[in-house]
Amino acid sequence: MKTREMERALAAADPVGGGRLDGLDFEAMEGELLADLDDEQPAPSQAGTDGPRRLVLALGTATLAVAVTALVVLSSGSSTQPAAAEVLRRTAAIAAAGNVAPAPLPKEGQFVYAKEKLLELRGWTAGRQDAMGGPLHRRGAPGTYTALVPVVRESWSGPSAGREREVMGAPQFISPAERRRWQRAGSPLPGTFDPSVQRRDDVFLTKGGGRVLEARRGVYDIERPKPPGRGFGPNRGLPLVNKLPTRPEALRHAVQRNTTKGLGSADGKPMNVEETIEALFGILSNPSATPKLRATTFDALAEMPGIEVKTHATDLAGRKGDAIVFDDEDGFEDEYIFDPDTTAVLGERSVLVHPDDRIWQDKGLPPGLVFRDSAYLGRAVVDSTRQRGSAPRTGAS
Amino acid sequence: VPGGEAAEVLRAMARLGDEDRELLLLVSWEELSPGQAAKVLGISSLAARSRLYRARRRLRTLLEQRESAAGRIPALDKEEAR
Repeated sequence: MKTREMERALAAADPVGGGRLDGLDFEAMEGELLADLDDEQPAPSQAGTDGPRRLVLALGTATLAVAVTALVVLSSGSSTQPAAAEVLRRTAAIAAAGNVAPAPLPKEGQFVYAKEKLLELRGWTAGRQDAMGGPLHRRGAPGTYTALVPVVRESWSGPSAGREREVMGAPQFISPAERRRWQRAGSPLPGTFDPSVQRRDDVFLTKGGGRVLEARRGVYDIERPKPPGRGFGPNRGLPLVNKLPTRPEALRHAVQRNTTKGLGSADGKPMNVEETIEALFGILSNPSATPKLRATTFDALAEMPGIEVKTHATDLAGRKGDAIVFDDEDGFEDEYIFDPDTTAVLGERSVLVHPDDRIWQDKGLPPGLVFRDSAYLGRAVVDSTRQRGSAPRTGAS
Repeated sequence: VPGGEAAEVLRAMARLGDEDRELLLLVSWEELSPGQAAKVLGISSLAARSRLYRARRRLRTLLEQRESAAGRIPALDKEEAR
């Protein structure tokens, strides 16, 4: 059985559970990112006059331009696309036929493990542990940088403890000038990936408890009592999906009313269309959702106004699927990518397609700029922060 | 926010966690909608709404502690005041 077929078979057996962790070479994924990052180490000679570095720069810029163009092209709607409702109802029927019991909610002492590949627009200040304002604050100011940062992220979420491991690759800058400025400054990385920050930051000094499992240029892996600013309830952030209605109309209304604990916003205010789509897609990525609920969710999505379905979408990990596409009121096109054969969720993408708002224009953010692109590589309930479901071992553990 | 109250708000903001402060600044200073702030921070719109709600609640609590003698709470922003 070929790898792809194996993945599909595993995914069909358990659409979003540990099965999806197989067939993906995490070590290779992290190794590629770090190799790219090593290529960005500052050269001893002047960056601006170094031939090979100029080539790297040119290639990097060209790659970004192609990537942005490709995303814009991929994101544009097409009149030949099948009706969204038709595709989603067909997917609902496939989901309903799933005959494997959903994963149980995590028990006392267990963790929800998640792994994803990301391309995120990030802003940072050299030598500081600060991400204030992400790509918006102080852009262009001395010592601050904005770029698309490729990351492989793993997280373990428990009721009172957690672990985060991130490995980053070479940043992809919005403009060649920004890249040259960054290289001239010695290619400083965002705080958590910068060894000079890792040596003195409170989190890495484990002042709040916890343990650093790995910290070096481009890598951090920290176990700590509780992820800062986040608390996880008994269900580790997963909504209690077994209490949700299993009729599409009722499910959609329940979600829109924002009365399901863990599913919506803490403010209790009703959700708009964008938020409802987001929450429904969240149900699909929940390993505890039953086949019936997954089918109901696809049927509920089929009823949502303003959505399109793009067939032949590709997620950040290169996996093929279909995408639910929605233009939100903030000028972004949001894509929710799933495998139409297995109904498994694959990833999400958010692209700034209409930077009409003053805030985007002031910062010089171009149309077609990816703000966030993520591929879900696996989610599982595990017994410790050293366990990765059925995934092969990687890095520190 | 007038002078004296501004100082109170800034002091209270300084006591918030980094994530809370960042979100409040994006919404109040940069005038981003919660949805836009979510995109900037790389989180979901719903997560941004939840965090914003909790951040405002924490800020309000801090301000109440400081302002209890005066018996008056400054408006946090236009949306909060509505």
